[in-house]
Order: sequence, then structure tokens, then C-alpha cells
Amino acid sequence: MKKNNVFVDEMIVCRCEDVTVGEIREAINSGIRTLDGIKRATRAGMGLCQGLTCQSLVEQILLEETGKRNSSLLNKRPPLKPTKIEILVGEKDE
Amino acid sequence: MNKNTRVTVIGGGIIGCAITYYLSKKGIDVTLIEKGEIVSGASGACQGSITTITFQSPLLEMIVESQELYQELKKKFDNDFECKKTGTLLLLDKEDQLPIVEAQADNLREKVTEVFLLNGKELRDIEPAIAKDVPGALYCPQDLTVNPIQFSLRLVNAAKEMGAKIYTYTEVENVKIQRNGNFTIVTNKGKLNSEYLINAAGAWSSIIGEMIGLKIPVIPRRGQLLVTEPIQPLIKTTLIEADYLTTAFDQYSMETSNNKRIRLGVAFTMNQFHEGNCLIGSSRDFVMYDRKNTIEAIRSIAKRSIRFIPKLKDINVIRTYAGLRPYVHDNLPILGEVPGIKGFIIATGHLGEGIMLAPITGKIISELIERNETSIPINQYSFERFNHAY
Repeated sequence: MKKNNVFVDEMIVCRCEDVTVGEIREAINSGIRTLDGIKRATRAGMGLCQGLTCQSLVEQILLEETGKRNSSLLNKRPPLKPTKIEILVGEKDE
Repeated sequence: MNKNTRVTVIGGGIIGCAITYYLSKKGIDVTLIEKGEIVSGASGACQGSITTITFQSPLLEMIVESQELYQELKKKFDNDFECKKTGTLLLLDKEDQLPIVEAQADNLREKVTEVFLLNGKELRDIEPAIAKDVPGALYCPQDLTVNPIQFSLRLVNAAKEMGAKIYTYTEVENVKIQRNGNFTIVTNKGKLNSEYLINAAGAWSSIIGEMIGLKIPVIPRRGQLLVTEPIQPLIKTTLIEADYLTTAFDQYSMETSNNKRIRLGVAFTMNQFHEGNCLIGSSRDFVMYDRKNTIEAIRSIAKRSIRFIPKLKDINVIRTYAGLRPYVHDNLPILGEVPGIKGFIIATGHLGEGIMLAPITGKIISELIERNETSIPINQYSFERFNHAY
């Protein structure tokens, strides 16, 4: 399968955590096949945007390296967007 | 997948990784089987503080040994796993906690070199961000913080280099004991014949036990944490509140408490990583294999956190997560060969101390297999204490 020339090793995929294509490839070469696994190994998806920017790029690299479509998305958890602790606490006194 | 191995480790969490590492270091043929990925269980959803501050014998000595092993491995692995001597502060919420905290200080001094009781001023000299009405704290400056994910991945890489076979996405479906005492491990990727079987399956250990008719009393206990955005340095130690010492967080006490926070099992803990993110915890509840976060726990953790660090109220939380810790009702892990089932070794039930006890567990189990005796006595952790018929 012809490798996509855009994905050179030095290219930054996860801008929040400074993770490069090379680091993603290294994680995949060690046997990891899910986005969550790549996230654990490289921190891609742990930053402020929680994978909004890099998720589809990592999926493309995974497809390129393994020939298979990734079967699971990044695990989603609250909060929906960055939320101040004060807001999380709420107003009611418990 | 290979057909034969000498030792099979079930479970690719930090315990399984440590055992596999120490076994392969001894030149012993070992295969690690993990149904998900390395640290896709509790080890990938926890905090990473290696502290003695709330412990007593016998776990206290084990954690002290583990701290030394972490330092050894830090040198060996070139500090890839963010191992730092951050120290721990056990924060008093109220003056009336002082007697118990003083007693714990005396208890610690027998085994730990540096233990200090700090008043409010001394405390805020170290951590200015702590609320003005926190009366004092216990301080253990030698405590460590590590990144459990990076540590486990590092252990696995080192084990692979020394000949260990690692199979992820491989689920154990059944275990059969052969006439000669060897184990046939049936997985979704093939069968494996093994002389030793080590159950390091954490919250799922009871499922493996059932396969050979053993009732292993480990149940999942969910712990939730919050992750903040990266911020300027706010704290430099690991913070734990004295409630970890003074309040019982067992199932019964939690269920019967009048205090909503205690019913949710919430007590404050926090550390800050070099990237600037803070981890804030934590809750405990028993919901079997449910790994979701709950709004009640998130609220309660957030509320408790600003009691101790008021500045947190304007900080953003970007993520929450939850992990399933392997809970044993008597608060001790289960370690050692099961009497009557030669070669079947249990290494689980580390509760909230898995990261703390991983290196020493790995070392001890490897000793058990190499020469059938351990450098630290482990009789008190034996499965035998449950008196189960099998």
C-alpha cells in the first residue's frame, strides 16, 4: 500500500501535547491498535481539546500502518467542554 | 501464539507487567496475556503516588521496599516514567484529627526516616496554595510520584527484550488443570500449555478463579478522578487529606453514613504534573464493572478540592475518568501460591495501592517461582485466609 507522503515522522499530529507522526507509528509498531491505547502510550488526545483535532489524523495513520479501519473511537467522558471547578460544584449547599 | 511456556501471567496491568519483567530478568520463560491492552484497566486510570503516609504494617514495609525498587528502576530506565520525589502532605481538615495523625506519625517513624508534623504556618511555607484554615499536616518528603502508564509500558518493553512473550487483545476463556498439574489456558487466539499460572487480573481476578472452581473474593471498586487544564505550578507535593486515615471507607460504613460525601466515598487527593495538569480525586463506590463517571462524585470531588485549595475554583476541568480497583474486604492483597493447586499463584487485590506495590510484588512473585521462597514473608497475604473450600 502506497504510503501517504503527508505523514512524515516529524509532523505534529496532536498539537495540544506535541505528539509526532513518528511517535504514533512507534506506538502502533509496538502492537497497539486502538485510539485509547495510542493515547495512553503517546498522550495524543490527553490535551485541552481531548482529541478533537488529532483523532481523525491518528485514525488515518492507524489505517495506513495496519491496513485496517480502527474499530473503536476515543472513549468519551464528561465534561463536554472545559468547565470551571466552581461550576461543577454547583450552587446548592449539600 | 506459542503452544508452550513455563509461566503464564494473566493480566497486563502494572502488577502483571512487573511480574513479567522480574521473571524475564531472571531468565525465566514467561508469557503475558491481556484481554485488552497494557494498562487498559485500573493501572491506566489512577494517580501514581507512591506514599507510605496512610499505611501500617505489613503494607508499610512493602511500600518502603517498593520505593527503593522504583528508584533502582528509575536509574536503569533513564527516568522515562516521570519518577519524582514530590513528597506527600497529609492534610488535617479539623483539629480533632490531630491525635490519630500523631499516632500515625509515631507508627511511620519506625520504618520511614523522614516524618514531620507541621503546623499551619510551616505547612503554608511549603504549599502556599493551601487554605488558611487547614490546621496542619503530616509531611513525608521522601515519597515519590510516577507515571504508571509509562512505567508499565517501559517494563513490558524491557521484558520483551529479555525474551518475554506479550499477547494483547487475547482473552482467557477457560483454564484446565492437566493430570500432571500443568495448566491448559484456552484463549480466543489459541491454547497455551503452562507450568505456572499467575492470576494478576485485578478487578477481573474472580472470573479467572471461577475457571478452576476457586472463589477469589476480589470485587471491583470504582474510583473517579478529575483532570484540570495545564496551569502554572500550583502545588509541588502530593496532597492527601487525613480522612484517608480517620474515616472508614468500607462498604458498610459508607452506606450507613449521614454525610453525603462519605456515602460517595470521597476524600481529597491531588498532584500536579510537569505538563501543568492537576489530578484531583477521589471517590469510591461498588458498582461492579461500571466505569462511567457520575455527576454526584464529580461534584463532591470538586467541592472537597476547593476546601483545601481555594484557587482551584477558577480552574477548568478538561476530563474525568474512572478505574476499577481490585477490592478485598480485609484491605490486604492476595499474594502467593494457592495451597492445593500447585503452580497457581494469585497476585491481586492491591486495592488503591497497586501502583505503590507493583515493583515489590513483581520481585516477590519472581522469587517464589525461581526458588520457592520470598525475601519478604507473604503468609499474611495468602489465599488460605479466606478458608474457602474448592
